[in-house]
Amino acid sequence: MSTAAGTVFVVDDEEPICDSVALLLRSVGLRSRAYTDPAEFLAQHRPEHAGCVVIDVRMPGMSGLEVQRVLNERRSSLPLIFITGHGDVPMAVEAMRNGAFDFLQKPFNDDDLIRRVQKALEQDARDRARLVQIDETRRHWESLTAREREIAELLIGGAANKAIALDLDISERTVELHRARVMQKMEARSLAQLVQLALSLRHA
Amino acid sequence: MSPPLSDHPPIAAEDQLSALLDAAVDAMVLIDDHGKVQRFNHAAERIFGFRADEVVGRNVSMLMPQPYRREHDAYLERYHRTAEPRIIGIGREVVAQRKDGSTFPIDLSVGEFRTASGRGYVGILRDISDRKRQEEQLRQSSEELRLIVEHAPTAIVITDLHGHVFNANRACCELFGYSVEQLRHSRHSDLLHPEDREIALPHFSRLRLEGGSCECELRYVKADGSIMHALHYAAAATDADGRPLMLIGEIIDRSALYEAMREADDLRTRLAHVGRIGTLGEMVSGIAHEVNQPLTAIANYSSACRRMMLAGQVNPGEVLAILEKIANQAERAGQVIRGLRTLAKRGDSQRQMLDINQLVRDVVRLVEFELRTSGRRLELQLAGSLLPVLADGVQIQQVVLNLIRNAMEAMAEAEAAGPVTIETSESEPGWVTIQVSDRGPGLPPEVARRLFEPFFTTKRQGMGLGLSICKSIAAAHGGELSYSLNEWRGATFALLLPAAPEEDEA
Repeated sequence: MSTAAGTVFVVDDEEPICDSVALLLRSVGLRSRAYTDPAEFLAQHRPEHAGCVVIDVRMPGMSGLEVQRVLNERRSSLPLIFITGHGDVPMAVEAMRNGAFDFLQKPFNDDDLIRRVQKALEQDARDRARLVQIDETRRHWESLTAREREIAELLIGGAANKAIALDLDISERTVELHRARVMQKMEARSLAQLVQLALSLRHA
Repeated sequence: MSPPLSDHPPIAAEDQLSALLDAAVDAMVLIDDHGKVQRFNHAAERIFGFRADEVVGRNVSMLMPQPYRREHDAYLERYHRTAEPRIIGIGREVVAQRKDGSTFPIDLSVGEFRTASGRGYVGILRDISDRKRQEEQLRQSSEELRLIVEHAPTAIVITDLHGHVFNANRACCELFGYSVEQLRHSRHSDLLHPEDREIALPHFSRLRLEGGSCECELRYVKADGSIMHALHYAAAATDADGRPLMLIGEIIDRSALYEAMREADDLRTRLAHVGRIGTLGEMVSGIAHEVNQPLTAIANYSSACRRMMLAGQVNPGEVLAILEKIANQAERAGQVIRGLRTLAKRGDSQRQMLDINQLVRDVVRLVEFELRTSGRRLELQLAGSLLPVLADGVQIQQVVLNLIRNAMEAMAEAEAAGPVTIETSESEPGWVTIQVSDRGPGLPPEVARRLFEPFFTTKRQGMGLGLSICKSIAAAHGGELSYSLNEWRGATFALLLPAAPEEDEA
């Protein structure tokens, strides 16, 4: 059933809510971890922990919004689904403005929760996959020689082999050899893909 | 030592008679059969004001007022003719006349005697003016008493020692709607409300045995069947030896007072209800949350169950555990609802035995959410064991709820830290105290002075009725609500309630 790996971190000061949400998630094959103390969640969470967070917006001591602020400071991309109670709409709006993935009003429909959690997990998986991709691309880029990088930059800039040869005062045949090495190291099958990989590095 | 009589010469019969007559306490007059006075003794001289020589030889009728004076000769003549005594050997009360013409009542007895010279009569007279006066006084005072009793505005009922009514005054008849005849055929206890006969019995028997007086509140039933609350004063009337003779009871109708008290109670109950509804209105979002939490958990648990079953991953043990959790959550929601229903309930004040510690815990459940969202804490210091209190649980909850919410508000306004402390104790024997203490800024003296006045408020919103309702609830329970500054310089409100009277260990 699970569409993506990852753990759902359930944070709610009320044990029955934590417990029941965790059970509901387990019933659809989702892995979860429940925390009744938001501070404990923050203390244990590591960036490499994949998944998403289902969190009560209103808790004594530390509110859901504060947890969100701390995660944002840590530059975490973990998707947050807020659970709000009666009359907490302003807090939900605030949470969304700060980049929350979604919010649910209590009492909520189980399908709604599961659907949102699955979407959040998918997004997290996508985010993480992209990060992995970027890391790989960066590693590939770093494996290029200075000459290869120079030629790659020019290729991305749209220059033709002949123009590069003129520019660098080397033979067109040499440019072609370097170009083949770049494409091989960057694992790019086409010039278009090379451009895309370079852009992903620039935006990361 | 008096010598034997035989040693003295015999005393003349005439002298003996004179001595006898003059020694007598009663007046004696001897007349012949024509009515002429023969003898007039000293006592007679004293009561008539005549000397003997002014009377002897004259007709005895001079000693009588008209019309007897005129008739007396005829009385004698009739007796001589018919020999039917009208007074001789009978005696009667007649009127006599003194020398100065004034008359006075006498007790007269007449005897007849015969001598050689014919017959005569002796009259023995006793002045009964004093007795007559006393009798008259007695008659008057008893008449006065009778009038007082009869026209007294309070109902008076006089019974024998066993409660049989032998007299009841007009007010009593009017009060009950029975005629005096009907009352005379009943017993005091017949008039009482059946449930109160037991109460009255020991009072009556004590009066019967020991005398004295008593006072008790009793319910009576009138002729029309209506019930009357009354104060009954009773006293035992005693004989000269102090033995109770009869019971005199006063019955004072207190129905109006009871009605007024009942009305006041009713108003207080209604006001308290309005106060509670107001408080509930302020708490509505918190309460909604309190119900939402368990409902959310229940929804989650049941969906999880359903999904597990649909997926065929059914583990009976696990399902059972989940069902138990569902039941617990439903129970929790039910408790919140029950708490609400209790507070929202309207109706007559109902006293029951209360465990104050339990009551405090119930109230805390209702403010739990407000506490959590305001980030505050309640510190409960409940006594290990407390005497039960006989009180209206809803109203006492209301007081405690008000005090806790006031404390939270005071601390929120002052942005003060620390918990609100609720302490229960038996501060003094026979009293149970609930103290709610905050760590806010306390109250300035001018506010503290007017704190319990109706419509006095320092809040922007609010009628200023909360504490005055609380105070009146405390008073209606025979208790007290007071304010003081505490060791943290915050406000402490103490609700003092009398412990329930101990059950007789019979």
